[in-house]
Amino acid sequence: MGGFLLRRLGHALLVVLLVSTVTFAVVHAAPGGPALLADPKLSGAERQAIETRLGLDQPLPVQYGRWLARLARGDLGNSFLFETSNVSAIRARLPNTLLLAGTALLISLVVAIPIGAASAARPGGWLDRLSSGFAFVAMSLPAFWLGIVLILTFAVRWRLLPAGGASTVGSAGSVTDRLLHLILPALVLATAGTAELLRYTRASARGVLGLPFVRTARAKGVGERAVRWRHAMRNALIPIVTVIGLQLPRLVGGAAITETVFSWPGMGRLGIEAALARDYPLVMAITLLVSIGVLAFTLVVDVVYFIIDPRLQADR
Amino acid sequence: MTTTPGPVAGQGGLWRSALHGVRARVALAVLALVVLASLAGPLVYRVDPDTLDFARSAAAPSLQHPLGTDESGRDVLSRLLVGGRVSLAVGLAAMLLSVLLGTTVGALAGLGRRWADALLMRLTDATLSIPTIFVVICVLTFLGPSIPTLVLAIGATSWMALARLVRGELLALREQDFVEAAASLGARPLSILRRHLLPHLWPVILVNATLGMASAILTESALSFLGLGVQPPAASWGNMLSGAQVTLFSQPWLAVYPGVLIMLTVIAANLLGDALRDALASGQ
Amino acid sequence: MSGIRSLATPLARATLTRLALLGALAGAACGGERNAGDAGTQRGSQSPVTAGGVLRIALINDPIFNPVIAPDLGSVMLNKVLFPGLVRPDEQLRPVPDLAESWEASDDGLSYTFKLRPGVVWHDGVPFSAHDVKFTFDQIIDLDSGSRLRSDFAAVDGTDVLDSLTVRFRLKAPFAPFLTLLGYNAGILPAHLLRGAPLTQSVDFNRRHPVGTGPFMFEEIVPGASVTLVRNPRYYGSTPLLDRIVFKVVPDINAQVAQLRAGELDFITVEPATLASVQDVMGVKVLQVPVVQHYYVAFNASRPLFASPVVRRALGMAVDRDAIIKGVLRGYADMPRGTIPVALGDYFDDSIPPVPYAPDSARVLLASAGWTRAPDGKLRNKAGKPFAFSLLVDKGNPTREQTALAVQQDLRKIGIDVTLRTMEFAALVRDHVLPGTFDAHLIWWTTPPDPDQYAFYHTGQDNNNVRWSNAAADSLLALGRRTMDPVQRKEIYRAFQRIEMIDPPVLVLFYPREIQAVSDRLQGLPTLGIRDALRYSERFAMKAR
Repeated sequence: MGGFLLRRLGHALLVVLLVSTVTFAVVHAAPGGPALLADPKLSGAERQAIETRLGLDQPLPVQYGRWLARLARGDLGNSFLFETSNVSAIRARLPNTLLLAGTALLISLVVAIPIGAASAARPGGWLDRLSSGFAFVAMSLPAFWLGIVLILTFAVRWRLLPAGGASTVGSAGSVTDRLLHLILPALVLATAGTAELLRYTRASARGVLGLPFVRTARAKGVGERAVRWRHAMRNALIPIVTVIGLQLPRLVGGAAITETVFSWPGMGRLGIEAALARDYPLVMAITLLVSIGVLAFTLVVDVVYFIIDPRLQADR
Repeated sequence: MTTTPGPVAGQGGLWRSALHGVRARVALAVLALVVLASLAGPLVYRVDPDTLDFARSAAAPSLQHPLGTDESGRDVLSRLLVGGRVSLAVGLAAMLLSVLLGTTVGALAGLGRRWADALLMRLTDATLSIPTIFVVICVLTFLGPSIPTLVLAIGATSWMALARLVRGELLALREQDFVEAAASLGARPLSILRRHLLPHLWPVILVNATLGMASAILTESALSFLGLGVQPPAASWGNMLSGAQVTLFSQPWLAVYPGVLIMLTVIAANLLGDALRDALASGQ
Repeated sequence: MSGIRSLATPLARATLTRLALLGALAGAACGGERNAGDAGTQRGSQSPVTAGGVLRIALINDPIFNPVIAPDLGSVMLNKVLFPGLVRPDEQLRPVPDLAESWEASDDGLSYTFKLRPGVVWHDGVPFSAHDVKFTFDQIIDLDSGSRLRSDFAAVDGTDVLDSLTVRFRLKAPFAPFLTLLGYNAGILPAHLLRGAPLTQSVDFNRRHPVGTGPFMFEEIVPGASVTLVRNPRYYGSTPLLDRIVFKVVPDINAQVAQLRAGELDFITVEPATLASVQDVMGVKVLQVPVVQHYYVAFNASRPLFASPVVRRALGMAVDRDAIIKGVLRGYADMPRGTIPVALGDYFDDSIPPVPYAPDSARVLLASAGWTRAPDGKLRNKAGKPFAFSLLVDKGNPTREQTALAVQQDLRKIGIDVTLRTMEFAALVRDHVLPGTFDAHLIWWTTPPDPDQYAFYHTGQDNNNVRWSNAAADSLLALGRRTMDPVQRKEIYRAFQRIEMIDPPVLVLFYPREIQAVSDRLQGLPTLGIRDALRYSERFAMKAR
């Protein structure tokens, strides 16, 4: 167990290093520096002063070295755009993204797993047809478009729900208010993920339902419900959890679009703003943070796997 | 996901069994129609998609403009046809790049030495773990969004799933008798890959490619929303859809056409990929 | 292109669009004279103004509460409310007292002495004094402070505190736009809170706890979501009418429109392309304000193709500006003459007839310059070389994209081969405009509300990217910024415009207007671009529903 964990940790660290190097290289391949410098009214001297202040006058390897050195100390650097530390810029936005992405994930799980499992039990049944039809449409909708349509319908036309933001200014703290603001963006963000999870759950459950031990359980006279839920789903869930882990970075990417459509003050929007303004340090900080989060999640899943199923000793 | 290998029926067999279902046939028909319309449409319907006519801005459908005009008075039908070419081309090319990268990385990892496998798989993990959209935006803001850069950006960030699948298949295949036999008969690795392994990989690649094209088309539209898709005045379904946002209150239909086309194409591609996958699972 | 400052943080496509136009429009602002806009006049309803209420204005990004270092539009808007300057512009663009009560210029124009308003206190209760003014301008002209106002005040040599309410500015040379610029972006900062550390590092002040002297004080910021300002009971001017002003961060223009229509915003500015979505909406009225800005096609005069004034004049006659204004701008722009826009009032010479759309005359002119129509319909010179060039335009802004398309189409009609290239704004400026590596590009200048265009069109100046050089214009531009008498200045700039008609420095396309979509409950809004209107926020009011 210890060796396994150590090896996994080693992998994760290597991955983090790769992520940081690759993002640094890709992001810094851009010539010219941040958009801050694209102001034609700046004189040469002013431009120089800004570059010196931001450390952009140094050669790239030096900048990379500095960045890694700071990273090793847990310092994610300073944002060009906000002139504050990246950590504080992210901290102000992260809770909102966690709330939004968490809710979306919850919706996905609550909808996809039971329906996916039930569909698998009766392939070709009405529920299966309906849910797979939904899944295909949901997977094919551009999220920003869905968001705008929902805003037009529910906020502008019917005035049932707010058109944007995470809360009404002045009423911060009211749970109802926050929930009302959460509904539309969470639904939009959940759509694609739910479809994917639905299909995956169905496939996984169908696979498991055909396995010998399930057939054995049935033959032994275990009730159909119990077979399905206790025996089959437990085994089907393991790969599903892995899929959820893989969905996480896309959840943040999707959140970036959804947050822009709904003016949601989250980290995804911050990332897009930073990327568009060529605020490299902030982009790298966000990317790295998400990556670490995903790796941590995967690590936990692996460990759980390991505990549940000791056959998985081999690291493939 | 690794399937039991053995003698393969070949792609023809896979296609035949995939197209057994009605859904798959409809999907293929829709795709064929969309491709045909985009390729041949502009040759038949010869209205210039770029001519501005502000006097006829956002006009309703008429004989002269069967689907109306956009806010700059350009003919919507011709833009949809030409835009279809662009969207499909971006989808297709990004998919090809992604398949190429995925297969190469997967093959190198699955057949290469341990350290190469480890390094490539960590690279795959790394790419899978980041929200690639931010990196894509960074790349596109300095390379400038154009069809080649979009293909590069989308393709280079969507190869990971295939790489894992290919590697898994190869790891399983490597242990098989027929591969070992070929090796013991003195076949070179590359020829083993081509003659003995690639036929087994085709189904996986095909499924992945179909789904990959669907997602590439969607990604282009999302990037268009951020202003980083195919750039106007060139038309793509993505930029037509995102451009129609501003007239959503006054001319909602302008957003319907490209939206429906994107949806139809993506659904059809997904259905086809699904049918292929089912055929793959049941046929072998 | 001071409006381009606002582009320092380009955002999403729609946002970028918006940044560009709003930044540009609002940056210029302070026009309105021709629309009989009295800075104090209320537009819209004539019913009596009521106190109380909340105004919600759209922002596109989180602001930096510091007028000296903040170049982006969001920051500039907020800082106009939080940090008054020594003067503010009135409806005639004349500087009128704000934090300064009165002032006196020396006869040689090299020194200005300001008497400050007594009894003004900062939002934290500390008295405002001449030391704050000196501190602010020391920072503005300091290269290392991160100041983004340095070029505005390049003429300032230094400031001296004469007593706690008297401050003197020393100028290196006479500089007529000085007072106008004092009322433009130069809000005064509190020395007692910011002294000792570099401005850019006063993060707590810049991001969370700003202290100014304006009619509204900082109450709360929710990062990425909103900034709330509350009425300042100790404001030195007339008592602010609103209880609060909320700046909501909504980066996407379509989201802004949706929120306006859903009653969650009271003020947004829109592009002509978005106009239809805010027209004929219950509870929303659409206003327009001319701004100090000219949109133009820049021809690189250092390239042989564009060296001749005759060619540049001919190109001007080949472009149908009227069609562009009606089609692309939906009529929300004014027909141009030279580079001095109509919003500058008296300085704009309306006795000059606009350049006519006359493609045939353009052909004749071009023929006289050696470009004749070849059998293939293209213009070619004697060597058979076609008249061809590439036109660069920034991407993401429908107005500029469509205008560029229209220019391309018009020039094609007379046989000129124009290749359009769109690129990101930052790339356009950095890689092409500044180094001068372009044939032609479509862009705009936003200038302070003063006719001084020395930096843009005088030979050899930093911002003269088109490399235009005209000796007569040079001497007029140099004279104009030294001349204090408004009547003389008017004559100087009118003469300048007449030169521009014969030797056009750029192909001026139009003078845009800022389009404001506002709640019909909003009252007390002066006829100014939003940024300058915000200098009068104490007069805003929201009619009860």
